[in-house]
Amino acid sequence: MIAGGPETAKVADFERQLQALRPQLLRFALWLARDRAIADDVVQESMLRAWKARAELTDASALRQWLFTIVRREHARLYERKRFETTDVDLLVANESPELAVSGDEELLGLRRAIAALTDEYRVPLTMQVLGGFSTSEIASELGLTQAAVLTRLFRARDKLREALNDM
Amino acid sequence: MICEDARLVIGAAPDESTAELEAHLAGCAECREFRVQTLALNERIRRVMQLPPPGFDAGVTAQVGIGAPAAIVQTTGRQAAWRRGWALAASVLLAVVAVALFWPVQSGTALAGEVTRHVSGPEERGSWDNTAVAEQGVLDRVLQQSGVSVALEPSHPIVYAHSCVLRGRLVPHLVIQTDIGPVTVMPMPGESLARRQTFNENGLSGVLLPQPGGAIAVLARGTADVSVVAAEISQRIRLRR
Repeated sequence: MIAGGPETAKVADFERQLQALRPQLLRFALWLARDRAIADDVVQESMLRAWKARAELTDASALRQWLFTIVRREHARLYERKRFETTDVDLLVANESPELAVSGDEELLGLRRAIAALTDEYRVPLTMQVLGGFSTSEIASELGLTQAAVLTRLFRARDKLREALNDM
Repeated sequence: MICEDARLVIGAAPDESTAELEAHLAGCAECREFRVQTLALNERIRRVMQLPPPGFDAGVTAQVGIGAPAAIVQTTGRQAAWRRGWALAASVLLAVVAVALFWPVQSGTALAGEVTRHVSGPEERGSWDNTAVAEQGVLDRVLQQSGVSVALEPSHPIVYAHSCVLRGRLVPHLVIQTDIGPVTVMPMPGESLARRQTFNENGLSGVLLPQPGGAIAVLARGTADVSVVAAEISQRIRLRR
C-alpha cells in the first residue's frame, strides 16, 4: 500500500482539475488556431508545462486563468514556429461537419463562420475575452499592445460580426 | 461620458458596467439601445464559440464537451457574463479615468506624436495601400459612430474607413486618394487644439487643424506637403459636438 499524504492529495487534485478544464482549453485553442493539429499540440504542451510549473501557482482559484494564459502563449510559440500565417476559411466551411451544420439556426452558423473568418488581430483578442475571460488590460499585456489598441480591435471585431449578421 | 465613449466601452467590452456608464445610459436612449443590441450580439458570439470553429469533425465536438448541436443555444448564462463584466469594468474604467486625467488638453506636439504612432503602428499596416473605394455602409457607420460628417468631391475617394481609438475616443481613420497620393485623415471631435500645427514624425508629415468641435489631422507618407489638400478636405468635414 502506498502511503498518501497531503502533498499526494494536492497533486491528485491538481491533475483532476487539469483534466476537467481540458475541454475548455481545447475549445480555446481551436478558436485561436483554427487548426486541429495545432490545437491538440498546444493543449498537450500546455498541460505538460502546467504540470511542471504547478508549484508556481500559489492561488488555486487562479488556475483556470493561469492555464488559459499558458495555452495562449503556447499557441503563439507554436504558431510562430510553424508559420501557419493563413487558414483557408472557405475550406473550413466546406468541411463543415454535417452534425454541426444542421443546428437549424442559420444565423448562428453564419456568425460562427464570420468569427472563424476574422483575421488573427481581431479573433485572438475576442477569443481571449469571450472564452478566456481575460480583461482588456490583461489582453493588452499578453499581446504586447496598448489598451487603446485592444479596445479598437475588440470594438472592430464586434462591428465586423454585426455587419456579417446584417448581411445574412 | 459622451455617446462615443460609451459606445466604445460597450462595443469593446459589452459585459461592462460602471457607474459612469450607467449614468450616461440613464439619460441616453440611443446608447441604451446600442447596449441592448451589443449584449444580444455578444450572447450569440458566446454561444457560437462554445462550438469549435467550422470544419472540425464530431470527434472534436466530443472532446470539447459538446454532445449535440442543441448545445449551441444552451449554457453560458448571465452570471458568468457579469462576473467577467466586473473584471472588465475595472480595467476599462481605469482606461477611461486615464483618459480624463491625462489626455484632455495637451499640446499639438503630443497630439501629432500620438497620431503618427497610431498611423504607423501595426494596427494600420496596409491602410495606405487600399485602392478600392470604401463601402458606403461601412463609411456611414464609421462616421456615425464618432459623430462626424464628410462630404468630399468624387475626385477624392475614401479608400479606407475604420473606427479607431485615439486618446480614449473613437475617431474615424480615413485614407483618401488625392493628387499627391493617399493621405490619412483623422477627424477628432472633442479634441482641443489651440492653433494649426505642422509636423514631421515617424516617417509621416502632416498638419493638425483646429476645427469647430475638435480638430483634424491630415498626413501623408514621407515629406509630402499636405497643406493644400488638408485645407480643402477640412472644409468638407463637420464634427458634430
